Amino acid sequence: MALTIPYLAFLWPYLLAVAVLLYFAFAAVFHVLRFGTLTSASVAIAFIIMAGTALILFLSYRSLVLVDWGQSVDVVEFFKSLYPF
Amino acid sequence: MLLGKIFSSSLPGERIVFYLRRHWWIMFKHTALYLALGLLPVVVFIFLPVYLPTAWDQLIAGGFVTVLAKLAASLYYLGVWLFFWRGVVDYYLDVWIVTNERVVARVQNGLFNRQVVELRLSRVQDVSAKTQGLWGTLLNFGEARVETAGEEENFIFEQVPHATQVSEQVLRLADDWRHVHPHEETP
Repeated sequence: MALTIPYLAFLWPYLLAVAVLLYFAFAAVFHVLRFGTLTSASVAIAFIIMAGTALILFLSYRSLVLVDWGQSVDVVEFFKSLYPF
Repeated sequence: MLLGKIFSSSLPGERIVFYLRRHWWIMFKHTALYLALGLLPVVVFIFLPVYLPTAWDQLIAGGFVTVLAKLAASLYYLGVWLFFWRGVVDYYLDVWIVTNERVVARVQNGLFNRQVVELRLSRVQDVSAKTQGLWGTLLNFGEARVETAGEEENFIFEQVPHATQVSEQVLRLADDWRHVHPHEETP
């Protein structure tokens, strides 16, 4: 009997992990603007954090949007392909 | 540096003597570590086709392994980026300020744990400095510890440059304060 898991099942934990990491991003920006003296350095740090995060998320989106999330993977066949012997 | 930008209320005649952060070596180590972590997948990308061609073929085949790899790479780089900057923000927000009236420590411990400690120079009893390790000795940074008259915990400058000079200067400032305020009792 084939055991298939849709690709979409792996997307949700990924999105949850991204949400957690974004929480860290906003926390870092909040701290540097709230508790740092408002200088060009603190504003630059906040901007770089947000810009870099946005860039990584954009590149991730560009890569993942090409995936057909409706397809499924046969788990047994997948592990067989990893361990042919 | 304007006193008003640092303290919401400054004392009469107060001026900043030191505005310290941890030594640059701490930030350098942190940056080097995360740079290495960032380059790790690139190294794997270069050597995988040579040493594990079967795994490489599966990775680029466009199947399930490729999808997993894309998800993992996205989370990996997001994590490396954000934890690097969390360390930078920690470094940037940890400051030790010495004025002619008080010493103040503003230290970030973790995500939502910030500690602000203020010690009036009148309460300074003794100071000590500690420089340890190869890099601490070569680059002259370490820990300066201020002991107080009361039951409070010792005030510690962590990994600051020229820790010995900092401790000597704090002691000198405390003595100067007592000369200027000879009749004022330690609160």
